[in-house]
Formats: sequence, structure tokens, C-alpha cells
Amino acid sequence: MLTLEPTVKSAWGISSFINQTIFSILLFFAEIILRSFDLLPFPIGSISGAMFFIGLIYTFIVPSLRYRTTRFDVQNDDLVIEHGILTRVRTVIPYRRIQHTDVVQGVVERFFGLARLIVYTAGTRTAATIIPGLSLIYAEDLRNHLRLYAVEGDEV
Amino acid sequence: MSIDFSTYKFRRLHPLTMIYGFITSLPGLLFSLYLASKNPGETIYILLVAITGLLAMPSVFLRWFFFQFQINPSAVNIYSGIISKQQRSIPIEKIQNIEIRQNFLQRLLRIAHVSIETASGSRESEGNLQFVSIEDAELIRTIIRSYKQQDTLEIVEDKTVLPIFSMSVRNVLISGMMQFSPILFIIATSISQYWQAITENNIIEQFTSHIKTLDGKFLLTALVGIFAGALLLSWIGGILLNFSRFYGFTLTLRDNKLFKEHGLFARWKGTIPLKKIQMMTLSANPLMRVFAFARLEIQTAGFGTDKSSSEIAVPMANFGSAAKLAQNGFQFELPDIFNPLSPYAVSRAAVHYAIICILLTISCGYFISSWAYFAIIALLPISWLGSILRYKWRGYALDSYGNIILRSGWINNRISIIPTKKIQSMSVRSTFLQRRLRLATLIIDTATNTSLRDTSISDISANDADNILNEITLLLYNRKIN
Repeated sequence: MLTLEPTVKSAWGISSFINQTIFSILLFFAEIILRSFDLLPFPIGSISGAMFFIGLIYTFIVPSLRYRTTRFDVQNDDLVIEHGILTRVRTVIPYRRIQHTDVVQGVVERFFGLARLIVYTAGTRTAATIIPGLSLIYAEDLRNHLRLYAVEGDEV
Repeated sequence: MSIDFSTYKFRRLHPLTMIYGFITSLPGLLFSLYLASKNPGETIYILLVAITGLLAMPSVFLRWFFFQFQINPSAVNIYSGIISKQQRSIPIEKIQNIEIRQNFLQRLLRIAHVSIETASGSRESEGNLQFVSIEDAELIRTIIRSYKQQDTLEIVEDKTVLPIFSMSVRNVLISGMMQFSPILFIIATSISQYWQAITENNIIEQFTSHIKTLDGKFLLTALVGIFAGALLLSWIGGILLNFSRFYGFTLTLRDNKLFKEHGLFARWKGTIPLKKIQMMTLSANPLMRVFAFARLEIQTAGFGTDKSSSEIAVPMANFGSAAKLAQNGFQFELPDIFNPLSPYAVSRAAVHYAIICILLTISCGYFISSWAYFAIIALLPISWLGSILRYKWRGYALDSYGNIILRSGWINNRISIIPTKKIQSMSVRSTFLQRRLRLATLIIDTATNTSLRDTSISDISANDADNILNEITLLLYNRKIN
């Protein structure tokens, strides 16, 4: 079983922090609007502050837990991906079932030189399976490796 | 008048199209006449009247005359244009949608606008038939649909091939009696509750002083009565719906495709290409089990642009014959013994059911009557019994043809048969509680859009889950070598 790039923890932390901050700011504005209509029984900033605090805890705890629980393996015939903190899921995708693959880089990921590989199958539940936190070079290598199999893939 | 489309001749639109064209261009003519009468003697307005009268009006006829269309099994061809000619060919397999539209005037004239749409990005539909008679519009739609499904000219059933399964009126009625539709039940309950609310108000008005003594017992009997009434209502409604849906059901096997046809008012036709079958499910509710009946559903992957779907291939038959009919889909073998779940599954399910029971009882007790609290005593053993029945029924097995067979449900029994070669991926999932009991859920992903219950087996031991996963992977790998 292979682990992700350790830098992904920071990348997740930063993007989580950005998301939480934006969410809290939006909540703060909502509070101001609600308060002006006398619809808010709490002082302004109480809900958004609490949410920001919860988000901060989330930002510090979840990325490292996610990093520790996410693993993958490139086997002879299939790709195995394990993820999930409370509910563990191990997914096995046979190479010949892969329809196509994507390498995606977000803004924060680009800063860390990371990428995620998205594997598409014809299935419904695992239609798009994501392996996050790979170095860009590795992700592209893996994609090229998988592409060889996808060509001879089966019809549904 | 109805057109015979089977000869592929080029057709003109409905003659009333011209009348419609004249009527719709009348305002323009009247307006130019009005302008001309307001300014007598001015040549420009006389010219305007002449142009609209001599050009617009004849063009309605010319447009009709030069518009011809033809529908053949490969394409819809439309030739149009008075001076600049246009030939358009829309391949049948590219057609996404056929829309029939009618405005008020068109309805008076009994003509309709058929627009044929493809997936191309343009906003306007690619083929516009303005206008054909409403009967022809329906016919065009059916014909294109049938070409799309079969790619051949076989709309009329081939009488030489006998159906492999058909249902008599009696069997359709019996199958309706066996069904119980929760949606109908909810509708019936809400209707009866509306009625209850009215009567309750009257009672409150009349017996305000007695209401406190009546409270518990009266409401409970009323509740039971309403429940029974709703049950009966939904049962009868279900029979009628089932009858109109499955009347004259036939299933035919021809050219590696299953054709089914049924319906009383609206005739329903469906085609299932055998190689698109992803999995099959045999199901039976408790009532059907008493008489050893079963229903067969076939899940397919989307073909062409259609969404993947679950088709009822046999609404009801003896379990044995339903299983035999299913063999037409693909070969399988129902094993006598299924691998059981982990024994811990009983405790997990019992706890689950108990929690649901307690929550239900508390909410009933709070909102309706304190009598409901006593129901806990009755419900808890039932929920425990349920979890044992669930354990006994559920199981999984691999047959000699390389299918994985899952038994799920316990009130409604379901047996799903999934060929290994149709498996897209597999997952083993374990929640926090499942891990404590060393349980896992095996989820099989196919290209169908079925509910999780048919493609997953929950609460097997984690070891078994790993083993079956490896076994299926091996099967997939062996097929690659062959």
C-alpha cells in the first residue's frame, strides 16, 4: 500500500481554512441582514464565530487523519484505493474497467506541486474515483500507465 | 387521413397547414390594407398590399408544395425551400427527442407541430414538421422510436415467434392482489386523515366536555379504523393500477432481444438487448412467498442515450418458472446453500431495529396517544425476531457460471444475480460500529442505476468480504487470460 505525499496535509489544511473562512464571512453577512430585520435572537458574530472555531478545529484535525487513512496500491490487475476516517472504504477497480482518467490540479495543489488522479468507470457508484495528493509527475506517470489498459477496455 | 409510412415515400405536410398559414398571415395583410386605406392614392402602400397579397399568400402554398419528408429506418429526410433548396437528413440514432406541440388554433384544425431534436448544440430543433395531423404526429413518434429501438422495420410483432411468457387476465388480477404499493398507501392515509380532521372538529364541537374521557381509546380505535380503511383503499387502487399497467403482458425472445408489451389504455413496449443486461433480480413480498410467486426484474445499462433502467420482465409467475425465464437473460445456477452473514449481524440489526422502534413509539406516544408506549413491549421482540429472519435469509454465493448471487431484504425477499464480467468495481465498506464487530459491507458496482440493496451484501465478516473480493478479482483475471 502506498501513501500520499505528506505535503497534501498542508494543502488540505489551507484549502479547508480558505473554505471555512469564506463560509464564516458569508454567515456573518447573513447574520447582519437577519439582525436588521430583528430575526436573530443572538448577537451578531456568535454563530459565524462558532462556525469559524469549529472549522478551525476541523482544519487542524481532519487533514492529518485523512492523510493517514487514505492509501492506494497499483497492483498487477487492479487499482486499490482505501479511504474514510469513520467509515472505511476499500475500492478495487480492475484496470480493464477504466474508461478514462483525469489529472486535476487545484490552485492550492498547484502551489505544492500536487495533483489528483480521477479514474472513471462505467459503473454508477464508483463512476469517478479520486486518488488525491499525488505529485504531479507521479500522477501523470500513473495516468499513462492506466491509459494502456483503458484502450483495450470492455464494452458495457 | 392517415399515412402509410412503411413504403418510405416522400410525403407532404397536412393540407390544413396552408389554411393555418393563411390565417396567421392575415394580420399582416389586414395591417397593410389598413395603411393603404388610410393613405389613399399613395403607391408605396398599394405596393405593400400587392406584395403581401401576391407574395406572402402564394408562398404559403409554395412552401407546403415544396416541403417533403420521408422517414426510413436509417434517417428522417426533409426536403424544403422554394428557391434555395435544402436537404436535411437526420440519422435515426442521433435523434434524442421528438416533441409534439399544438397551440389553440392548431388544435381546432387538428394539426400538430412535430419537432425532432438531436444532441447538437443548436437551440432550434433540427427537424420541424409544421404541420401534420395529430394522428400522424403520434405515428411518426412511434415509428421513429421503434426504429431507434430495433434499427429494423419490425414494428408489427412477428407472429411466428411465440411469446415465452404471457399473462391471462386472471393472472394479472392475482398479481395485483399480491402487490402493495407504499405510495398509494400514503395517499390513502393522507386522504383519510383529512377526513379524520373534519370529523374530529365536529366531535370536538359536539362533545367538548367528553373529549377528555374519550381521548385515548377513541383515538386509538379511530386510528386503527383509518389504518384499515387506508389499507383497503390502497389495495384496491393497487389492483386497478396493476391491471391497467400489465394487462395483456407478453414477453418475446427474438434476435437476442427480449421484447415486452403490456398495458390496457396505454400500450407499453420495451426492448431489452440481451448483451446489455447487467443483472437480474427475483423478488417476492411476504404475500407472494405464501403462494411461491416471484417477480423478475432485469437491469440494463443505458444503450445509446437512454438512461439505464430496471425493467419488469415477469410481473408475477411461479418462482420456478420465473427463474427459468431468467435463464433467457444469461445462464446462472441458484445454489441450494448460500454463505451466511457473520453471526454478529444479528446483534447489529437488532440494535438498529430497536432504535427505530423506540424512536417511532416515542413520537407516536408524544403526538397521538400514550397507549403507543405499550407498543414498545410488543415491538422489541418483533425487531429481534426480524433481525434473526434477516440473518437467515441473507447470504451470497458464487455459482459455476461465474455469477455472484446475493440474497437481500427479509420482508421483501430479493435474489440478485450479477455476472462477474459485468462488474465495474468493488468496494468493501465498514463503518465505525461494523469494525468493532469485524463486519463489512461488500458493494458491487455495475453500470446500472439500481438501489444499493440489490448490489451490496452488508454485515458479512470482514474476512469473508476480503475472500470474496479476491475470488471475484481472480475470476475477472482468468477471463482475461481466456
